[in-house]
Amino acid sequence: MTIRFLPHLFTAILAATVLIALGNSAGAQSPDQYYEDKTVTFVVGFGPGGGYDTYTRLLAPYVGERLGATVVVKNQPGGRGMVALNQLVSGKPDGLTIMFAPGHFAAFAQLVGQEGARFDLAKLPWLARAVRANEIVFVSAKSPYRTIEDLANAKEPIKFSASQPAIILCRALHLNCKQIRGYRGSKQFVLAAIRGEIDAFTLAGSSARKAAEGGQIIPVFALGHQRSQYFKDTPTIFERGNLTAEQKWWFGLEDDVRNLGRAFVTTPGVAADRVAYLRRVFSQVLNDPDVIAAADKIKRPLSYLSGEEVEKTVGKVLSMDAERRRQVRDLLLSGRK
Amino acid sequence: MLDALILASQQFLQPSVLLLMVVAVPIGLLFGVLPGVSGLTALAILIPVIYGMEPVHGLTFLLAAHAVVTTGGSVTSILLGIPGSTLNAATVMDGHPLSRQGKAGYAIGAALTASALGGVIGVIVLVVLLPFLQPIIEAFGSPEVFFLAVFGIVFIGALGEGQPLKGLMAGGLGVFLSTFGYQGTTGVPRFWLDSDYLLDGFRLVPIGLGLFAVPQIIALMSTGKPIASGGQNHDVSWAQVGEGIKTVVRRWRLLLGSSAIGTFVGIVPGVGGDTASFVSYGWAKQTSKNPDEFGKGAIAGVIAPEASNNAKEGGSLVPTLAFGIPGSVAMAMLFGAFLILGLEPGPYFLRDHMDIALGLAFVVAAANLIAAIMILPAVSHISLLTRVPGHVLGPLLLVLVVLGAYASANNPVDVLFVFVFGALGFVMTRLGFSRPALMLGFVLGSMIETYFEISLDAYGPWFVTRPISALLFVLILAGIAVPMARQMRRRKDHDHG
Repeated sequence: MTIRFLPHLFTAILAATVLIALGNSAGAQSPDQYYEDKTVTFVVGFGPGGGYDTYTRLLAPYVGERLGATVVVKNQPGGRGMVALNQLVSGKPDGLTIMFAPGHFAAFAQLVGQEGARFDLAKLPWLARAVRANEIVFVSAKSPYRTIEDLANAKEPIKFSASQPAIILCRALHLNCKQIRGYRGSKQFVLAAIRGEIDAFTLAGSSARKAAEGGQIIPVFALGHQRSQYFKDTPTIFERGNLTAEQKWWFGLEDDVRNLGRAFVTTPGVAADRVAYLRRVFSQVLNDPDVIAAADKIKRPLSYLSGEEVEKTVGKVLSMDAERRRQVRDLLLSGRK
Repeated sequence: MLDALILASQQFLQPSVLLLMVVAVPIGLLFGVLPGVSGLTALAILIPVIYGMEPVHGLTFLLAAHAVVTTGGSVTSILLGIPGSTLNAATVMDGHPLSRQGKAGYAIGAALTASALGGVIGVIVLVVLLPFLQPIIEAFGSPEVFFLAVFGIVFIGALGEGQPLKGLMAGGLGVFLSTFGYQGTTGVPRFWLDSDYLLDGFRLVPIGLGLFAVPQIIALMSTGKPIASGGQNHDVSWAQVGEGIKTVVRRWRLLLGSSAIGTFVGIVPGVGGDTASFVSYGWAKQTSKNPDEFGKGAIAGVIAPEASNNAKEGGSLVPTLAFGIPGSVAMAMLFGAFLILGLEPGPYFLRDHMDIALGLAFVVAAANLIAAIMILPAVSHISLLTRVPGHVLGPLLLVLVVLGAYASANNPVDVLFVFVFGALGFVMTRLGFSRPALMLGFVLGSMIETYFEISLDAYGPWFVTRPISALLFVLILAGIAVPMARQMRRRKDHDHG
């Protein structure tokens, strides 16, 4: 009986050793070894050809090179990026799926409890912000307005292309605004402004730069603390001074959310050392002069912010008190019927 | 202008440019032939190829491939009854019956010629209009886009294949389907049933493939018969193809009109190319002396949509070049290509780069001609597809359709909906409801809703009195009244006779 039992025991011990060895090697594997020769998927929550897609495809090979991994880009359009974000939240925590997410849009969606938003941004490991839009307020050359004062003293309602920054702006400055909803994307409302169909809109400086050249749309001021690199002569709303505390809060919120920009994020639950490693890699790529030059060449400027900072900003935005949250919600949802 | 023309010909009339077109055109045709794969996919795949090319070469390559996608798509529409891209859906109505009668060569000959000439005419109109583009685009605000969309809806009855009421019902169903997902102006999702897929509503590609391809595949597989089994077995001969070509030339007024409609729809940003072919088809039918023949294999029903399909490509270049604001998603991708090549369309592009604008127009025109010349000799061979037994052809098509549906957005749910809409398409064909009417309703439904609300918000209820809007409104009323009057008169004649 002993003799018959021995081989089994031997096998069991062998198996256990192998298992332990395997487990050890997996545990001891450093993140840079882990990514070696793996396939990493970059998810884009929008279709091919747009800004998100272009940026992701631009950056993918550089990130792949640093990781020693193959990076494939996958378009998963739907719900303005929310469908992809919903799926990311329930993804495998292996750190092999990374999404280039619309941080600012997602933050507002979560704040107002948008239908279809099933994610909690505070629980996601943010890797880095790559792009920040420096939003600028433009007026149509066909409108009677040219300055903030003109807008503030407007007798007729100012026809604004509805956007979150525009709604917040109108509320903070108590402008007499009429939000026009329904334009699909910035191209359409820039055209509408050129035609004089709307009086004003807000748009990232980088997107509006070329259209503004003809003088048919005129920059008035920049939202946020920084001037746009494309409109250096256009002052920011904070430079204007004499903002009340209440106004500062609203513009601060806008600025914080805008700070989330377009950011890389991975699935929740990824091991801390992997997240740290990915953050390092993204920091290297996004600060690489070659990458920055390549992005500038196609007029897609980069603006790096560390994953830690993004995480902090997400926390700050989402931790506002219940009363403020209600105000934001009421304001942003007010135009809905 | 003359200087620019000379400069353009110097830059674009090079052997290397022509060679690139010869390479790009078959690629575009292939994308067109594959069901569900559109010009957009073609651009997405081809854009990486142009890195490092000279601007003239890179743009030539992309534009040539993109401009001929609908030409390739017309072949599948006619032969198989499956639109190669959604833009070709209108061609199915009369092109496919011709195939079943054994006249595939005739139909394809006409379609290719109409495509080529339509493309060229579109470009000529574009070049003539280049100096006046800015005022034209500025004159077309949201109210005008709204009325253009309504104008399209008016033709739904005409798509009813002899049964206007059933056409209207199908169109109404299309409008209903277009209301799913985010509402255009408020962003509130409707009927989304807590499903992520429905947040964006139904997609055009699965609807198109489901409605047209699935019933056809079912018919092929259940009967086992080839497509051309209904009529006599005409030989697909050169004579037939030549007859098709000649017909287009003989119907020059139809050709010019449809091309004009296509160019116009292309120029107005926001209307979208999907509408052009349907509107032309409806126009051709309503102005025809024999509207009853439409849907049963009228050659005019092939010429009109195909001419306007290609003509609109020239038109859709306009907003891209004139304002640096792409008129469609495809043009947005093309815009990205401009940037890669170091060119940047903007308000001064036409002034500074008129030569490139003219050159690109030339590329679109030449690509259309090259495409026709490439396919025409092969038509007799391609048409043999209609002789392949159904039980062989059916499964092959099924594979292509599933692949095409998946490839359009990498979404397996799209494949599922191909079959859902396939079931709908099957029922519709059995009961004689017009599938193109449903598609047109679907395409125009959300457009009408969104632009109506924008117009109302931006201009107030009196937006109707804007000059162009008022004109369109009158045309719409005429579009309803004239066929009704004609029908009444015919009924009266009938009674007396």
